[in-house]
Formats: sequence, C-alpha cells, structure tokens
Amino acid sequence: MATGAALQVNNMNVSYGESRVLFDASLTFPASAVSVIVGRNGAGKTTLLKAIAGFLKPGSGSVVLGGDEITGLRPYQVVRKGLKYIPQDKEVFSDLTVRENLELASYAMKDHDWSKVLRYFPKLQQLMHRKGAYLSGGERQMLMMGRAILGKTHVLLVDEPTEGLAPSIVQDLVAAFKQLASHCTLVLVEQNLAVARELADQLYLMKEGKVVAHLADRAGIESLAFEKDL
Amino acid sequence: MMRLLKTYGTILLVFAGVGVLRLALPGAFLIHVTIFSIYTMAFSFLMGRLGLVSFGQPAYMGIAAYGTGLYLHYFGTNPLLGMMVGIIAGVAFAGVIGGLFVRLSSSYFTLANLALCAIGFFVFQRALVHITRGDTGLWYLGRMERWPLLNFRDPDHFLTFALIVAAGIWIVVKGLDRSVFGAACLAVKANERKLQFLGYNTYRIKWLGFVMANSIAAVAGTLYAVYFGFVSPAIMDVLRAPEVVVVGLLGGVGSLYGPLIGTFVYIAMQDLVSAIFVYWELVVGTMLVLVMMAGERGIASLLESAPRLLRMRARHDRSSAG
Repeated sequence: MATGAALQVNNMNVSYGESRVLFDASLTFPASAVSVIVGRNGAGKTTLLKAIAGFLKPGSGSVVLGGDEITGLRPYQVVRKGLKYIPQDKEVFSDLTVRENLELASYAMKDHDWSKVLRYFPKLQQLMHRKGAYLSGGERQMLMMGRAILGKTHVLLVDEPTEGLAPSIVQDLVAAFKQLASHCTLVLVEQNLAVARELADQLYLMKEGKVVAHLADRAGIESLAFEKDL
Repeated sequence: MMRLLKTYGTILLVFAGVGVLRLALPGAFLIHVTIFSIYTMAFSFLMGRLGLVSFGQPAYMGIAAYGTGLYLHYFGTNPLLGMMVGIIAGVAFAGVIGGLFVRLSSSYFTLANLALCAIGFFVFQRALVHITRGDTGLWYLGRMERWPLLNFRDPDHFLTFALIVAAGIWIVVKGLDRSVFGAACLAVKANERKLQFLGYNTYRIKWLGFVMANSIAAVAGTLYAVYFGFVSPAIMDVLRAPEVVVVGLLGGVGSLYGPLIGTFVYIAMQDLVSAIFVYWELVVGTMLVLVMMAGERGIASLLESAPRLLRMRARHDRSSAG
C-alpha cells in the first residue's frame, strides 16, 4: 500500500449478472486529499463507489481502508470502519425533520455532537424542524453530508453532489468540500468539470468500465476538457 | 408523572371508554374486540412500521395459544403462568422464524408466512395429533384456577384484564414510535438502503421489529386460549389469514388507533350486523374498497382528518359570507 493512502482499490472487477461493468480498476486515494473521478454516463463510476462501500460484491479485487482490508464487508460494517457513501439520488428520510435525520445518524454512529455539522453546513441550523420532503436539492445534499460526517469518518465517497443544483448552491457546496477536505479524505464522482478542476488534488478518468487516466498534477487537471478527454 | 399522563393519557382514556361501553354492549363482543385489536396491532406494526405484509399471522398467534393450552391441559392450572408459557413460546418461535424470513424480499416474505400458516395447521391438526388431539382440541376451562379478584371465567373480570393488557401494549407501541428504534423501523420501510448508508444493520432492526410485532400476536393468542379455555388447530387455519389483513387495512396500518377502530367495525359487522344482514362480508369488502380509495390509510386517518376538513369548511363558509 502506498504511503499516506487512505483508501486503495486493487484490480477490482464487478459484473451485473453476465455483464461486466468494471475492469481491473485500481485507484489510490491519498489521505486528506480531494480525489475526483470523472467520466461519461455508464463509465462505471457509481458502480465503483457502490462496490467500495459494500453495496455491490466485486467479482475479484480488494478494497483497503487505512491498512485494513474491507472487501466483502456489509455496508453497515464499512460505515462503522469510517468509510461513508453518499449516493447521487439526494434522498433523505422525507417524513423525518432535519433534526430527526441527524438524530438517526447520531444514534447509529454514537456521536451526538453536531457542532462540526453546523460549522460546515450552518444553513441546517435554521432548517432543523423542516421535514426532508420540503428541502431543496442543495439542502438535502447538505443534510446527507452532515449526517455522513457524524462519528468516525476517514473517507467520504460522494456521488454526483452538484448534479441538478443551481450555480449558487454549487459554489456553497464547493466551499464546504474545501473545508471538509481538512476533516477527511474526499472521493467525488463529478460530471461538472469546472467543479472537478477546482476541487481535485488528483483526478481519475474512467471510460467504459476502465480507469484510463490518472492526473495528479495541477497542469494536467487544468487542461482536462470534456469533449476531448471524456 | 404529568408528562407521562399527557403522553399516554389518551390511551388510558380510550381503553377506559371501551370498558364503559360494557354498559350498553355484550361483554363477549367487547372481549372479542379487545383481543382481536391486539392481534391486529401486531399486523399493523409489521406493515405500517416495517413495510412487511404477513399473511401468516394466525401461526404466530396459534403457537402462543397452543403454548398456553398445552400447559393448562397437561401441566398446570394457573392461567397467568399458562399465558407466560404461551408468550415465551410465541416469542421464541418468532425469533427463529424471523431470523429466516426477514431476509426475504416483500412478496416472498408474504408467501413464506402464508406457507408457515399452512404448515402450522397441519402440524397441530395431524402431525402432533397424539398431543394436540387434532380437531377435537385441548379443553381446560374447568382446570383453570380462579381468584377472588381475577376470575377468568367471569366476562367482566376478563374484559378488565384484557383492556389493561391492551392499554399496556398501546403504551409500549407509542413509546416505540417516539424512540430512535421506531424512527429506524419507519426508515427501513421508507428505504432500507438509505439506512445502511448511515451505518445501521437493517437486518437486525427488521428482526427485532418482527419479533416485537409477533410478541404482540402471541399475547393475543394467549388471551384467546385463556378466554375460551380451549384451543384447536382452527386458530391457525390458513383461511383466517386474510382476516387480520382486512381489519388492519380497514382501520389503518401504522396508525395507533387504527387496529382498534378497524376491529371494532369488523367485529360489529360480524357479530351484530350479521344477525340482520347475512351478507355482512359484502358490506365489509365494499367498505374496505371505499376507505382505501378515500385515503389509503384506513378509517383512522379519515377520522383524524375530519376535524381539519370541518374547520376548513367553516373557514370557507365564513369567508364566503363575509
């Protein structure tokens, strides 16, 4: 394992029945860095995150979190190891209020100190009594991230966090991600290249289930262009 | 103390109200309503709070009833001890079966429970006939001990006892609804995967919820066993499986008072209306369809929304007049 790697994926293969969707994916995510995975729809980005988080069983390969192999663990066991996954659907428990949503996460993670949640997402304070069903997409994303950072959080996997959000909300989220990077290792799947370029310390490019490029220098990341590279 | 009364006082008042109805209605009717509403609460908990639809509820109730019946027929004469034995049997059975069944997806869960009910009927009617005496059943009414303050053969004593038990169950369920476990159960129903994202072992939550729900069914089973002083395989007849589903839906699953309201309406149709109208099932069926079309959450939700609708109507009338 590379020195300083918070999370490492080795030669991972994933299939849906007979259809193979991830081919020998190997990625290394350094601690306290923002790693962004980009690629067109169907490139296998979400499948990769789900397999890392334990929601899909890889056919072969391994996932190593901070030196511990977590391949094959159940999703709740992966979460308890400190690896959290935020899916792209931006769905929270709609019948529960923001407070209740946070309480549910607090109880699972045995962390009832919400100060860091409110430091990164101060807007949640004024939404405490609002039900999940009445939150905007950006507010739901903030709540999901707030819930995820409760308890032990070494690595946060976030799938398409800015999809469908207004530009002003996207900027708020980018600012929050920059702050969160000091708290944990961030792995984002992102189609918005401007956001990817602004946040990424390193960037993986996926195409048709394969990792086709790894950009770890600023110049390479800045030069990434959607039509040409994806 | 005041806070507890404020939270749970309504439950005590509702069940005291059922007791007061004894002045106007037959004891047997009210006892039937009370026990069946406990049985329906078990179904309502499963479907309304965990999203699990079970067509096997007679099995969970029947196992507990047989636990009580076998104890009182062969071993002891203390009905309270018999109830304890029945509840332990029911909880243990639900624990083992739940461990297997809650892994199943929704339709398979429903069908597996239905199959369980058929198996239970066969086992108690035929396979264990030398112990259960098959369709003849176990009779022990005369063997049960009677105490001056609690005589289960006195309908008023039994009704009082059953109402206290029911109120206790409703208080426990309301307490669960207000707890993190209650929220986790609802979250499993809403989206199990989302709860896993938060680090919950959803299998354990479903298993625990399943055991709790069927412990309530077990209490209903033991009450029936003690009330009738008799138990036969008919209690877990597969043909009775849809009955609790209909009653649960009629009253409103997931609502606190839905099981009581649904049972009251259903038993009233069965016991009282059937005397003047033979096709009472037709009325229940039509009512169920109408209630589901009106709100999908049963009579309880219609009653809950009625005052709000009346207030809105009054406000509309006032503004029109002004």
